[in-house]
Amino acid sequence: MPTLRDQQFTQRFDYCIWIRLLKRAREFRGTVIILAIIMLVVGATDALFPLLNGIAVDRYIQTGSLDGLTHLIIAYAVLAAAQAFLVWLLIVYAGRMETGLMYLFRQEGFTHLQHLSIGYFDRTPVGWLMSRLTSDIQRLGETVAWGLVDIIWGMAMMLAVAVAMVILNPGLALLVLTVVPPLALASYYFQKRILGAHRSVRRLNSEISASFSEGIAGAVTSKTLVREAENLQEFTDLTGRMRTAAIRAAVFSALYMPVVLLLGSVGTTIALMAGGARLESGAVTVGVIVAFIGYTVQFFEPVREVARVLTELQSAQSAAERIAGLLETEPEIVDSPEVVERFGSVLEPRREEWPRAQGEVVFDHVSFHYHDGQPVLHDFNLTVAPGESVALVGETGSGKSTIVNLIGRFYEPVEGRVLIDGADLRGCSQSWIHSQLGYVLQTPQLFRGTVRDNIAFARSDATEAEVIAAARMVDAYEMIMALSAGYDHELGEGGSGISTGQKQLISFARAVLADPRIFILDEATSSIDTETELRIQHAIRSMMEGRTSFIIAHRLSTVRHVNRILVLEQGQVIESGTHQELAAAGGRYSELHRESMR
Amino acid sequence: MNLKTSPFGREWPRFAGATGATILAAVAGFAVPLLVQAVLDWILMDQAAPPFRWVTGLVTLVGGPEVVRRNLWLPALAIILATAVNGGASYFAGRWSAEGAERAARRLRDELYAHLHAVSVAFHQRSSSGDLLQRCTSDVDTIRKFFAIQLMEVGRALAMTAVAIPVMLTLHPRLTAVALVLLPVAFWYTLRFFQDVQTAFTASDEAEGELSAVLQEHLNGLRVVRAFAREPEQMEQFTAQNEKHRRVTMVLLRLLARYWSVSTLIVVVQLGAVLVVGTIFAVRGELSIGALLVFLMLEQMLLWPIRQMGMVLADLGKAKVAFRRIAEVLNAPVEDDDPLLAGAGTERPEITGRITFEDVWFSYPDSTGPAALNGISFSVEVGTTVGILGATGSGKTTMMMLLSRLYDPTGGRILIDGHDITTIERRWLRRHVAFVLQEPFLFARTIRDNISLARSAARDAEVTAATRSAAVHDVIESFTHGYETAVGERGVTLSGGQKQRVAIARALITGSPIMVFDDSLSAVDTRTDAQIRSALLERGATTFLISHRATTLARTDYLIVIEEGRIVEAGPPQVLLTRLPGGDPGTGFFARIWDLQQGVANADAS
Repeated sequence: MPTLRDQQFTQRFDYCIWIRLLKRAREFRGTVIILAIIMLVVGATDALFPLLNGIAVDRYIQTGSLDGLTHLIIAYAVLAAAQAFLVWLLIVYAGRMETGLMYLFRQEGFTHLQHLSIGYFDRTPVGWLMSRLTSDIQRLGETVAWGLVDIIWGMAMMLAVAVAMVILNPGLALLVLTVVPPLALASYYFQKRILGAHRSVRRLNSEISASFSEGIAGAVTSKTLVREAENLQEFTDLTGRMRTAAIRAAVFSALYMPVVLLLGSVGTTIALMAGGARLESGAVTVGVIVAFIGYTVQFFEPVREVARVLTELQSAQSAAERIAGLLETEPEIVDSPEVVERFGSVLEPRREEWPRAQGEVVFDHVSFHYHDGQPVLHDFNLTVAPGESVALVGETGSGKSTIVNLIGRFYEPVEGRVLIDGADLRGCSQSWIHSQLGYVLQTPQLFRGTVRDNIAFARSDATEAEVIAAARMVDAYEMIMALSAGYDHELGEGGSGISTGQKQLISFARAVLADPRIFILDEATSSIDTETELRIQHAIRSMMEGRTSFIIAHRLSTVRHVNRILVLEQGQVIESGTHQELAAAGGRYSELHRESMR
Repeated sequence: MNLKTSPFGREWPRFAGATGATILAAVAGFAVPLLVQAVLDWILMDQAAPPFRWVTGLVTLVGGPEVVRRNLWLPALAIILATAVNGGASYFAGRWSAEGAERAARRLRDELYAHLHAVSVAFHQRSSSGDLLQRCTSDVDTIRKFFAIQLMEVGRALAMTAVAIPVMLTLHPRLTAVALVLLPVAFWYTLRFFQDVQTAFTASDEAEGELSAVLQEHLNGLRVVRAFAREPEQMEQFTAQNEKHRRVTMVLLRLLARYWSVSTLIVVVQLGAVLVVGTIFAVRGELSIGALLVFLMLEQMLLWPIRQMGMVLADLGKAKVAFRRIAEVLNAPVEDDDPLLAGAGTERPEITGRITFEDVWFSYPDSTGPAALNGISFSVEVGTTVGILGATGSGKTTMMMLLSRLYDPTGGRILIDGHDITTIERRWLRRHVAFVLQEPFLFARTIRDNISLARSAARDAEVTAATRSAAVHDVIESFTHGYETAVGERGVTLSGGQKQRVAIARALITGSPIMVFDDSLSAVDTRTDAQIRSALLERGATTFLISHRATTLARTDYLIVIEEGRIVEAGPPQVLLTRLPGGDPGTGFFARIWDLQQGVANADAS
């Protein structure tokens, strides 16, 4: 499981990951440049205000004349208007970049998922993928867009303030600026601590959410097991740790501000003392001192911002690593360029080019394993004629599901070939293979939308008549009409709102509408009452009519009417024949059959 | 729960201390500009002494303005000291408010968690779990933030305004008027904006939620999408949602851009007004340079908290709503006080497993339809295996929930060993009834921990004995980490049948004299089913088996067939099999099901 690395915090900043990721976002180059220019101007403008205070003191108050005060007013008004406009511009552009980056990476991520093989999804929990495409990408967008803004602003402002100070009075500037290195160091130290503390708070917070969620979902279970007291004990430990961590984070933040204030006041006193000492000699004017005091108050903010962004980038790196990891995962099963050229890709299929399969399936000396050293199939051979029905019987791990996975090219054989109508699947378009297969799963998976939408999921161009015909074929018509809005009945997420048996019948109708040549049924063993089950059995039989079919049987009730039953054990066919033949043969199948009747 | 008795109310000493520290910090913070002014005007420029007695007093204390001029480190030290007091007080304000808020949040979380375990099953069934989760997590967080951060912001803004206005008035009343003119505008604009922008925030959140929902559904149904080659359509759907999220979020950001732009303009214009008008007063000789500087510094100190206060007050509504939503949960009655249930029950009799249902009636609370159980009566001896058959919704599970006192009968009574179970303490009773639910719930911990949940002291041998009986030992051993394998999202995903068997093992380990299996073998193959049942027989417990499998039911001692909350048939299954279907309503129900299931089995064979 290469992708299951948990929230690790990489200590060292790794430029490569960021560069690799941001290369995908080249289209934002223009936005970055505009933002950089805006932020440079904003930072410089911010540095101008204390200068105006100094000018007011020296030009007007010290001379005792109001001549030219309108110049000050105009300058101020222009700066104010410019600043207001620039702030608007910067938020709009940074916002565009943030939302644009999130949009882009989500599109790329989702597109990439369409190309990854089923094997990848078998190994990767849904929740993991969800976090990559939601919170991690959000983190990336925020950090990159706003981090860029803050860091350029911080740098520009620091530079502008330093330049303004040096121009006003180089000697005084050097003295006052000695506060900056300790300020920067303290900021970096504290920001790192604060961030670290916040990270553990976040982690504990998600643990608490998970505990609540489990507590709610498992409430009845806890009651029946009389686990309330123990559950609460564990939970209290967790919230206790949360309290300690949260207070720790708050204390770091509460400590940082006084340190910054203190260093700032040291800067103020330096300006006052050193400036005051030079006042008499005339080397410094009162206006300069006023401006300097303004700067010492203003300086800590950009320093803090730069320190914050640097540490945030470092912690967002793990999110960046995980996103890069997902986007750079190579699909295990790829259509060749020639195939894509001719039949289209997953997202742009050329359905008009797809031939219709006859339905012959051949396994030619196939060997397969999921993990090295644990063979599932070894030199497996099987020929199924068009229209023939085959049942696969055997225990968990005997290879039933694997055979089906190989027919769908969800996996590829390690050795040997799987052929449909004589064509090696490796040379066929994946989408074409899937379109020729009707696949009915053990747990029916439906989607949010109407019943009609769900049936037409198989073929978006299906007419109303075709949808109804498909429903009738599997005996689902009455059931659907009994729903409050019939075919327009709205289902919830994942098809919620109707019973499992009803979902199953709808998924059958969906499979029938696709009219596949090869039909695969992973037989249900869920809790369905006998009446419903009979209906489903009936539906299955009508679906199998005239199609090559494979049934993964968990109960033996379905398999009696198939043309051939294959009993599998450790990837080998140990018995093969019709129900009557095998039941009479006295082998493994008849044993299973007897047990099922017991 | 009200605010005073809530954990937050009970932390009032810390919040009061934090408020005091905030005020101290504000006062000490104002000392700095005043000291700067004194140094500039009085010491350096030889102008009139400032109108603040504590400043002139301090200067006199160390020997007058001349001494200070020669020793500029003295005012420097004073400034640094004042800042240190400001910083120290801010530190304690931050620390105490965080401590108060975090301690209270912890207690509130604990109370909620405990309460969720104490309320009735009916409460859980009528609440949406997502909503409940939100009340326990984000609502608690909203209140916590309000007390940890926002309350202090309000305190700071008020303290600052209270100190700043007298100081300004002392220095120059008319300039004070100019300095305060835009503050209410800044406050009002912020308040209005953050009230109005809520819908945009909600829209953005909702769009994000929808995007997640689309993604989740896609990932859950991935095999179906692939199987029907529907990737292009799914891509379209995702793109539309992604696009919508971007658009809606951008609307919000544009609003924020406008707010910050206008807000910046107000701030800068206000500062500019002070500077220009102050300069005019200074030129006229009414105002010293130092005093002008004080005005500028105070103005900057005031503007931010005032704007913050607008934001906080806009958020106050959210905190109130959050508080009410939490109170709703905590005010729900606990199981033992629930008027819809019988009382607590105090007895702890010895329980062996003789069970009698005496004309038991039950209707679900809030249900308007027919009663779920209509006069159920039967009686079984210790060690009997009872099969229960019935269509979905016929009342099988309800019956068993009553036996565990998850609900109490609305009529009639249930006796265990002669005791009416409503007189038995709920927890005591449940310790003796091992109930395997229809949809077993496993906790996100190791398999071993899941099995020993009900008996944390269970030894390894007991765990394996239970898993062997539940025919799941070999499966667990085949996992890379065996019994230490974590279950759930971060670990292995168990199949339906495996989950059921782990849940069975978890029930077996309790050694309870009464066991209930609510269709707990449905996803287990017939062979394993038989294996587990024979292991159950050896235990001698009174066992209830709800099942749809005729073969399973045929092996029980006593079979109850229920339909719409009534027993339509009961007796040893062999006897029921001999009844002919199609007589009186319900008669021969089991025989018919048997025939149907065996018919499927034999139809093609013949």
